[in-house]
Amino acid sequence: MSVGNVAASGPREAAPWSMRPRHPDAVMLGTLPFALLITAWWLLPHVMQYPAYKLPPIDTVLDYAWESILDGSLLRDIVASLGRLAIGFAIGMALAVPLGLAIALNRYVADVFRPVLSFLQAIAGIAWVPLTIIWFGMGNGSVIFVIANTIFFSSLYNTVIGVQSIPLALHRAVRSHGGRGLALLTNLILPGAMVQILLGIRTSVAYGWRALVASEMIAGSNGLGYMTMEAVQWQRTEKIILGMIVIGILWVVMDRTIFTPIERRTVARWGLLQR
Amino acid sequence: MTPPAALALPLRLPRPFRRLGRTARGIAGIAILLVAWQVSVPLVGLSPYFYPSPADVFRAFVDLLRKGILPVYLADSMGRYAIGLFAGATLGIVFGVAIGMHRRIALALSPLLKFLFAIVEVAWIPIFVVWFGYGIETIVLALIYIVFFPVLYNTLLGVRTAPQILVNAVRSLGAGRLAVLRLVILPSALPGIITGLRLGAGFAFRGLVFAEMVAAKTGIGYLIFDGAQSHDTARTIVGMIVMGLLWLAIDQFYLRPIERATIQRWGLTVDAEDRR
Amino acid sequence: MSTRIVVDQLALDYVNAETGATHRAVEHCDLRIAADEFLCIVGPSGCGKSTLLSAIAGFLAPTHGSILMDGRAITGPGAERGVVFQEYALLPWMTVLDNAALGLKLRGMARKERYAEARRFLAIANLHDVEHKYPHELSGGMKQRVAVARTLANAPEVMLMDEPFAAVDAQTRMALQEELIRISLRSRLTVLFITHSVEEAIFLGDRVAVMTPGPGRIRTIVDVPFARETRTWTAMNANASFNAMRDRLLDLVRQPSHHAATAEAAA
Repeated sequence: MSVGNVAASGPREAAPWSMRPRHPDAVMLGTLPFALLITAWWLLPHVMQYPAYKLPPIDTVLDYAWESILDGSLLRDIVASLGRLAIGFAIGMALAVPLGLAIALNRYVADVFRPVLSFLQAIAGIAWVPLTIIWFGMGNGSVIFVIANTIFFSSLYNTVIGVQSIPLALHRAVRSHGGRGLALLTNLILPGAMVQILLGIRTSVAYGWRALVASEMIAGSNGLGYMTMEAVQWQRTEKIILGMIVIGILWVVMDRTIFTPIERRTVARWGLLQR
Repeated sequence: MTPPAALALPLRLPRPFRRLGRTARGIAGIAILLVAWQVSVPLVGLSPYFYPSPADVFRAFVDLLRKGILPVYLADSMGRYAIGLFAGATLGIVFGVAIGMHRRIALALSPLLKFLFAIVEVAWIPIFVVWFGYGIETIVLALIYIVFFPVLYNTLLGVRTAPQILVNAVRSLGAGRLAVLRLVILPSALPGIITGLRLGAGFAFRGLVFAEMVAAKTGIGYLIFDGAQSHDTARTIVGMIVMGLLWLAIDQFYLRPIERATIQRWGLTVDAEDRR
Repeated sequence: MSTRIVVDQLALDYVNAETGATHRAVEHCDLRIAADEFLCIVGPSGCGKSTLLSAIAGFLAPTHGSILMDGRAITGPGAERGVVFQEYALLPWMTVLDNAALGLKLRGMARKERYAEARRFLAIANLHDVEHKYPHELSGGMKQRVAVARTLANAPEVMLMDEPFAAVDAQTRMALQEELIRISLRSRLTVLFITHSVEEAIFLGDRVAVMTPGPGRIRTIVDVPFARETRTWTAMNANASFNAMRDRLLDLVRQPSHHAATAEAAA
């Protein structure tokens, strides 16, 4: 809204977070709130009285972090959580893609499944936990069920949209070259839907990640979610805070190293412009 | 979900299906599920604790209604949901407008907000429990946290994409900063705000159920959780079904009409899925 | 004839939002707009004429030089300089009547009075029975009529028009041009009108300034001799001196500028 930038034209920046051209004070301003929060956390016990378990001092959290890294317990929880996420993702995708193709390609399948599926989708994955505890007991089975359920619905949607976004002209072109049946599926429909499926992975895993943490809290026997919720009973708040920070960092790392590159490569390879 | 006719594979289904209309086919899908469930109960041969039948679930439903438990739980859940949604959306809009209009606020807050967003809301619930105990505070805070981010993000997107030419036009008519906000920025951001609200409402509904499982003694989430704990699995399933129906109703009767109203009236378009 | 706006040795930079690179759009630009005159600026696309208008409107700050209105430097947009945009810039969430009354509302005029005033100008702009419609329900020509009515209703001291008729079809454009002549006959207006059409500039202007690109500056200014009362397209098309003037100015617009010519010679 300043007077200076009005004549500038061209498409607006796509991501509202990104600030280009880079502002000289960006780093200074951006680290300020973190510095303030940490200072406040550090100062708080000196200015007011409260039970230490409500908010342990920073060094307690750092000590605990160091300890749990050395004895390998933090790594074990991280590996357990990520392993479940991977398995849940694989199962969810393996079910969603074929069903999604069938729904997108056949009107009858679509009509029969749609109400059932939209109803089941409305029952959030996490609501299955009490039931899955009864069926599979506490631990892997329950947690993986919830993750697979969550990823299934998200990927199903993307698969259906992916097939439906294939232009009719392409379809006709492949057919006119004699493509039909299996050849049509492998040459047109699968690759055509693949863009949307790949682009949808990030969202699906983001949902799956939440489902993972939540279900571990209720039905886990280890993992990050279990670690934080279990700590509530023992008032080990430093454990909760460490868990939260690790959960935050892991997502940022996964996003940067896996999902953003997938998106970028998909967009680059297929020559698509993402909004 | 209907594909173009030419895309339909020649997949053959039993003849009775093909004669039915669309709605009828949908009902048939649900009916098949229910019948398969009922028929499978004696075949599986497990106790109702492991595998209750539709009839058991219906009995549990009537029982919950008669004892007045279900209406109370529903009211509690909806009350928490409404408070969390309202507060979270208000905060999201305020921050979205502030960040969208002031570059320095944006620079200062965006790294922190990105990090907070990465710490998913469910991860906050344990510490909320430590701080505020089991009860409405924890649940409402979790909901605020959930709704805040999608509303913030979409408000910001709306504010940033408010047409500069409209801002220029009203300034040339004599508008000051506040008038620009009221006349151009907020109305431009409204479709985004509504998209954010709709997404946030969806996430928050799931969050509500989870938070109630962990941190409440009433509500639909508690019903789902407690049913299984007290070996009354049919109650858990009643809770799940009520949850599904409730969400479909909220979406159909509140969120979609609001979205339609603003978008159609002003001839604006917004692609809900793209704005995630 | 007193001078309203003085542009003195103006340079304007344009910042590309994507790359952050700056580009000089206007340089060494001098211009005087007299009170009650209708001044047209004509030039090829990219010559910086719209950027110049943005600066006079106050959307853009001068890099060098100055713009004065009645002796005071322009620091931002204001109601005394009404702008009509090529893209209409009507608020999509307001009815035609509310759009037309917007400037009056911002001044704090009561609802009843401002609606009466806005209706008067909607009538002048040949708009009837559309006051409760929303902009997206109108054609391009009607939208621009609303935009003109909105600006007129706000009674600006200077009206800045940025290629207002470029986006409408040819038939409508001619009608709108004739209407603008009619409006300028019944009320004294100071107008700066930007266009890339030489014909339009001569048809509407008391004076026509020709702008050349790379970076933009005023090359020459000519007086238009035809009485405003006689300006209809039928009359003008039949007028030999109108056509002669058009051909002369077209040549001027098409000729490469002094800068470009020397650059070509050097290459």
